[in-house]
Formats: sequence, structure tokens, C-alpha cells
Amino acid sequence: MSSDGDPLSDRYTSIASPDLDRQLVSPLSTTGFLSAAAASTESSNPRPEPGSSLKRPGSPLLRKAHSFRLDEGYGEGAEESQSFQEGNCGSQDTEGHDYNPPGTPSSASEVRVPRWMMELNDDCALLTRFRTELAYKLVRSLPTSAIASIVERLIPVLHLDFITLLPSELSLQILSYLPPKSLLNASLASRTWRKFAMEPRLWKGLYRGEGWSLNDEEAFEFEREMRGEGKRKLQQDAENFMRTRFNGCSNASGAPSVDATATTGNETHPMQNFPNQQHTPPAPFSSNHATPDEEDMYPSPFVPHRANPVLLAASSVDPANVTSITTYGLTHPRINWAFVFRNRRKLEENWRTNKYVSFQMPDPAFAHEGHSECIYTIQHSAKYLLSGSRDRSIKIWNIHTRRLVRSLAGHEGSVLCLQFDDSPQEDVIFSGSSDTNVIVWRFSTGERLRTITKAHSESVLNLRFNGKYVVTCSKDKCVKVWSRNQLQFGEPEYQSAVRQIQLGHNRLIDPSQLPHYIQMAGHSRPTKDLPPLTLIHTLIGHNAAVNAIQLNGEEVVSASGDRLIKLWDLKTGYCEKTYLGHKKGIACIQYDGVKIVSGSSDKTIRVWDKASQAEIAKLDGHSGLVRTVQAGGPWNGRIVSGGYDETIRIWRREDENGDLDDGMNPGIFGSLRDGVTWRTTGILRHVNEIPPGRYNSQGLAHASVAATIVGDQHQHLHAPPHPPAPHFNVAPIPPANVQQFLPQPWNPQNHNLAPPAPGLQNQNKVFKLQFDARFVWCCSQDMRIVGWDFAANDPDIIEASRFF
Amino acid sequence: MAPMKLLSSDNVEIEVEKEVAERSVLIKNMLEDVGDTTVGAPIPIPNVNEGVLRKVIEWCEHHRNDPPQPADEDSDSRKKSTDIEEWDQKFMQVDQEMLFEIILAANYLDIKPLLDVGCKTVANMIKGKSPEEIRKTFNIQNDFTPEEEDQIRRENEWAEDR
Repeated sequence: MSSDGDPLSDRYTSIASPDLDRQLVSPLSTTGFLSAAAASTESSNPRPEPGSSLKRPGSPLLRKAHSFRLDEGYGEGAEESQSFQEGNCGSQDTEGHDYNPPGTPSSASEVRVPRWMMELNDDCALLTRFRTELAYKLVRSLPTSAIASIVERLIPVLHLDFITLLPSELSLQILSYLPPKSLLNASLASRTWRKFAMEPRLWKGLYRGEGWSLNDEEAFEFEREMRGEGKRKLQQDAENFMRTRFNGCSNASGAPSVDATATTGNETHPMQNFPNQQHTPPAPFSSNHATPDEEDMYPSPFVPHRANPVLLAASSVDPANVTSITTYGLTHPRINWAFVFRNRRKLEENWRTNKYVSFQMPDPAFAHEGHSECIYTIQHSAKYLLSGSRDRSIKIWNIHTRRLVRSLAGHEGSVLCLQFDDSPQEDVIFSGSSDTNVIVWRFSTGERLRTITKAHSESVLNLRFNGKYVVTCSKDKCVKVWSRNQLQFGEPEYQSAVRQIQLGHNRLIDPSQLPHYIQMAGHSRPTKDLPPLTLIHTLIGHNAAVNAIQLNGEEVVSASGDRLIKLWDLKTGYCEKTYLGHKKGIACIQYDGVKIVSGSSDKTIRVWDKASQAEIAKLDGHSGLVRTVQAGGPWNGRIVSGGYDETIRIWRREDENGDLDDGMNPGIFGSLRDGVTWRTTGILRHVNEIPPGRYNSQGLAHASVAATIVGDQHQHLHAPPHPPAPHFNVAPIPPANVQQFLPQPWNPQNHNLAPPAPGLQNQNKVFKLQFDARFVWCCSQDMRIVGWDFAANDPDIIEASRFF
Repeated sequence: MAPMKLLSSDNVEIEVEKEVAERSVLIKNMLEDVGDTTVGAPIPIPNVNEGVLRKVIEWCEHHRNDPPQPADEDSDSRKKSTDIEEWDQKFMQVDQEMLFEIILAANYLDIKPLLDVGCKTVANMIKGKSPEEIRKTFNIQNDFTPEEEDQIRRENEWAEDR
């Protein structure tokens, strides 16, 4: 069977095309042995000179079974290529040792080793040794220059440039195993290597490998915009951006000012802050590049698909670097994931070392926009933050401008809990209040859509919703589950809802109406559907106020003053599991389907394994009730908690080396394995007062101070706090020592917070916080919302953070 | 076990058990397409010479009973490991040229675990090396100007601390 016509062989030929082989081989085969030797006689440098015939490695594709055969790779190029392409039709004739061409060798390049010598099979160690010795003696008999030439000729055999010679997908696979530092070193080997090592796919892989969150949607959109028809728009946006950036950008994050578009309801264009290259130093290699004009910054999508590595090596060097957010890539303009990686690492480092800038809402210049009493709850999306206050209002804030968008009035008591979804499909806010009501609002207009009056018999303490359910909990010890959608007879929830009517739990439908909802004899089905927000379950089991709940699919976890956590199945309404361990009432809870995190009045945070009900970890450090907690970050290795001790703590799950633990090798019942601990890496304080303008104009200076320690201390350094607040000084640690303090494992003995001074007690209890990749937002007894931005005014981090 | 024959690019017939040869997805698919080939002509492997083919078969023999590789989804979000089991490490102790050809052959024959081991072996040759050492290992000409090299080194400094 010949390889001719075999479709499968095409695959191989496309990988190592004959063209490639010819390019690689021809210089060698035409130069020959003598001229090469002569060349190296002139220069005793054992390294081949650039441009010499020996620069290119001999094609390994042409090698035969036995390595180190002296005459190989130097035969007639035509013959070799032919034998490669067509296979060998004869017997073993093309093997060097059997090949006896007609005529005598006419030049040194055709010298052949005597047949008998080659037949000494290298399978036999003894004969190999004999041949080795023979070759060595032969070599030693030569002049030094000739030996050098032999060494040179052997370099391609001993040292192959895999990355250049292999098909590109295999080169990328090799590099995909390298950690960042090695990859960067590889990028310095040569231009070709640099092209490969900076390939965005590799860095995206490394980025994922760190467990960092990635906004795929944003990345997809960005790259789509970057190509083809988006090009013109990009340039326009670039101009607009430059205008806004240099004219009106004064907010702390350095994010572009978007108020004009945002408040009129227009979508901010996703490319708003794209072309930040203009702020970076000129691209390197300008000698190889034309000036970085528009074509270079937004190259047209056309790039020949790279099949031939030689072509690539010959092309000019791409200034792929880690200082701009876009790169040419190997194939088309891409997000420069090396840039994103680098800046995400900087951001994570800022989290670890407490480098941030803080700011507040409302902006001090617009203080009148703020709440008039303390704020119990907040939630934010990419663009908006909502706050619910004791002043009975809900306020909608634009995160980027930090300006008030709208204030919602309707509750007759403190707004204690809320959740919203600003996506166009949902466009909804749910809020719960001490007035026992739940109100449903349209997010985009502020219109009040529904009110569930007397949803509970006492304050509604928390609520959560998803596409199917709304769950509320109350001081009345109950958890209630409401349907988000209309219910039809036959749905399981319909039956549950009817049961709630029968039991008299449903205040909206009197039990006398029951015949409408129960299948009567002679009727095929009940006459009425049940409207949205019909009560499906009343979950009874807790013996004290239910302070917090978390909804996950068809499961709810509830945390109560009775010190218990309960897990409920919403399909049945049954309590599935109970978690005991907290010594006092539980104030807050989070649940991701696998683990439960809870904060309690016993001053601890505990982590539970849902399935085994085991307590995995206990986090000691707060000196008061833990009122709010969130777990997240890389590998879920970050917890941020806040409480009545007026502090916000940042915790990090670390292994014995102080590195972030990826949670991959848990101990028994998913508990922390030996050496892994949750350590407090930083403490934030909801500062009492931020002098107007400070965090804008001195943002970076502020950041460097902030990096030293917690909020109130740097406040001392910048401006006298008002009122003087000695009541929450951290034990005497001068800022200079903080770098020593921070890496230490948290030890409450060493770092006890001074007890609050009488009279000033409980000035600033933390009620609710939320964090994401870059920000922590927090509300407290204060009337302002405070945020911490761990990008710390670094424009590169800010630019890259759109993909975090 | 059913024996079958492979024909190397240099026309050497190599007898191999079907089960072993089927570690190659290419051969496996071929056999499925062609039907039973236990008797009859050897299967030509037109791009792999005898030496490399024997080496690849040696690997397949040793790994004939390996369980199928788990789906790769998860590895995407993990740090990639360059760990290689001991036998494979020894197996890969060959000159660079042979290593190169094993990688090409594994790719052509579609033997993913062998390809992975080959690529990891090369990765381990790069890992932890300075640019100069990498150039030496792979016989690479430094084609950067000193200025360019300086510039890149400065750019790369951010990764120095780890």
C-alpha cells in the first residue's frame, strides 16, 4: 500500500510541508561539508555566525532511524525531499549504509562511511561503544578547527528549536505548561519565541489557572468590536474617550465619566475606555515598526493564518508586550491577556497588602443627595448601587458618577432588605421593611408594581429572589416562599399554594375562596389560576427571629437568633438539614450550593460543608457581632465580613507557605487541611468623615498611606477626624511597622481593639457589605455608603478590570 | 491478542497487537473504517520511520491498560502541572531529535497522552531557565537588538517576585 491517495497522510504533510523542508534543507545540502569546514576555519567561534549555512538546524523530519550518522542530512536535497514525500518504494536502498549510487563520490560531501561499520548495530551496547571510541579517535586526529566544525554540525542534532520547528498548535501546547515567569523568560529567547510566548490564549489560560473571575461576555464583546465593522466606531470612541478623560475625569477610580449618557438612560458604549495605549510609553521596537498609527493600533483582521513557522520568523516583530490591553496576537487583534494577567495580579497583591483608595456616596459635593438616617442594606451591579435606609427610602446610585439616580418612597418603616436585577429581562427591585410589607418596583422607572402588605406579622428582615421564587424571612420566626410567576393547576407549586390557603397562611385569599382552586367533581380543572406572588410555603421551625436567608436554586438556607442554620428544600417545603455550632444567634449567611458561611453574635464566622453538615472552619477576630459576610474571590479564598465592632475584615485562605490555598485538597468532610488557615489580611473601617476632595486630588498619596494600615489611622495622618475618634484605635502599631504586622497570622491577643469609649459606643456598626474583584462597598450606622477601590488609582488595573 | 502489522515510512513491517496499536486514535479509526485487518496488508504509517515507530509502540505497550483520560474541561481552570510519571520520564530521556519526532508522531497518530508527555518534557526543558539558557538549550539565535532586549527585560520585571 502506498501513501499516495491516502487522505490521512494529508494531515501530516500539512504539518511538515515539503516546502518547509526545502527551505530548511537547501542551504545545508548545497553548501556541503567542505565549505562549511572552510567557513569555520576562518572563525574559530564555535557558535554559527548569523547567516551562515549552519544557522538553521537540519530538518529532523529527514532523519532516519539511527541518530548521529555522519553523512546524514547532507546528501542531495532533491533525493531527500523526494524520499520524504513519496515514501520508499524500493527495499532499504535509501538507508545510507545500503545505498550504493552508481559512480564514485566526487566531492567530500558524498563521503560515505564504510558499510561494515554502519552495520554494527547500535542495539548492541558493546559495538556502540566500539563505534563511539572509533569516532572519537577519528575526531581527535583532526585539527581543532575541523573539530569545531563537527561540533557545530552536531548542534542542530543535539539542540533543536522546538518552538520554531513544531506546528504552531504544538508549540503553544508546550508553552501552555509554563508558569508566568518562565513564559516571560521564553519570550526573550528570540522574536519568534516572543510571538508565541505572548500569545493571548496562553495568558488567558494562566489567568484562569489562578482561579480569577473572568467576564467572558465582556471579553467576547470587546473582541467582536475590535474586529471588522467595529473599527470605525473604535476610532470615534477613542477620540471621545480622550476628550472625557482629559477634560472631566475627576472621580477617584479614574473611570471615564459616564453621567451624561447614563442618566439619560443610554447604554454606555462598552468601548468607552478602550484605547489606553495612548497613555503607555511608545511601543518598543519602533525601529521595526512604522510609527504607531491607527493601522498599528487597530490592525485589520487580515493576517495570514500561521501554518509555516519560517514565514512567521521572517515577518517583523510584533511589539507584543504587557503594557497595552490589545495585541496583534498570532492570528488577529486580540485582548492582550498578558496585560490583563499582569494587572489582575497587581490587583490581588493590593488586596493582600491593603492598597486601596476609599470614597463615599454621596459625593461630598452633593451631600444633599444622601440618606438622612443610617443605611441597613446595599446591593450593587456593574453600574448601579441601591441602598435602603432607616429614612424609609431606597436610593439608586450610579456607581461610576457616584450620583443619585432616583429615590424610591413607599415603605412606612425602615427599609431592611432589598434585592434588584437591572437586566432588561428582569428590571425589578424587591424590598422588605420593618412595616412588614414587601414592595416590588420596576427598576428602570421606579414605579411601584406590587405591594405584599403584611407579608409577615413582624419586620421583614431579609429577602432573596430568583426566576422562580421570592423568599422572605422575618422577626416572626417564619420563612415564606412566594411564587414569582402565575401558577396553573397541575404545577406542584399550585398544590402547595392551595395548602397555604387551607391553612389560612395566605392573607390575600380567604379560605372561603377555596372551591375556585380545588378540582371539583364534574369539572376538568379549577376555574382560577393563582396570580404571581402567591404564597407557596411557610417554613416553620426556627424558635427565634430569622435574620438572614440565602436562596440557591431550589434550596434556601436560613439563619436565626436560635443559633441554628437550616437548609430547606423548596420543592417540598421540608427542612432537610440543620447546622449547629454557633454559640449565639446568627446574623448573616451565604450559601453557594456546596458551602455555607455564617456570621454570628458569638463574634465568629463559620464555614460549613453543606452535605456532611460539618463545621469546616471557624474565623475568630471580630470583637462584636458579625452582621454581614461574603465569601468569594479566587478559589473562594476570600471572605469579607463586617460587624458591630465597626470593622470590616478581609480574610484570606492560606496554605502553610502563606500562599493562597486553592481549596483543591480538602481534609476530612471538606475541612481545611493541615496548615491551611483563614488569616485576616486587612481591616477596613467605615471612616467617620472623609474630607471633601481628598480622595480625588490626592488619590495616590492617599493610597500609599492607606497601604500602611486601616482607615482611621490614615485619617489621623491626613486630617483630624471629627469628632475625635480614639475609640477604635488599633493597638499601638506605628504605621512604619505595619509591613511586619500584616504578614503575621492574626492573633487577637496582640491586636485587640480597644473597647469603645462610653458614650461613643456603637457609632458605626457595619450593617451590610458587598465585594467584587475590585471594590468593597459598605453601609453602616453612618448615613453614607463607603467604598474601597483596590485598583488604588492604577490606570492599567482600572483598564483591565473590565474583564475581571 | 490479535496481531497486526504497521508499515513504517522506510518500509519496515512491525508486528504489533491490535490493542496496543489502538492507543493511536488514527489507527483505531482506520481499523474501524477498514474493518478487520488482522489478516492482510500492513497499515502504512507513511510519516513515521521505523526507529520512531518502534519507540512509540514501546510507549503504547507500557500504557496499553491506561484508563481513558478524563475530559479536559476541568484542567482548563487549573494550574497546569508538568509532572511526568517516572516511567515516562525515563522513556523521554532521548536526544532532542528523537523527542521532536516522538512529538510529531504522537500528534500525527493522535495519541494524546503521549503528545502531552512529549510537550511537558519540552516545557520542563524551558522551565526555570534564563533566556540565555533557553537559547543554548534550543540553539536559538538571539535576534533582538540590545535595546529591545533591555526594554523587554524591564517589561518583564513585574513577574520577578514570584
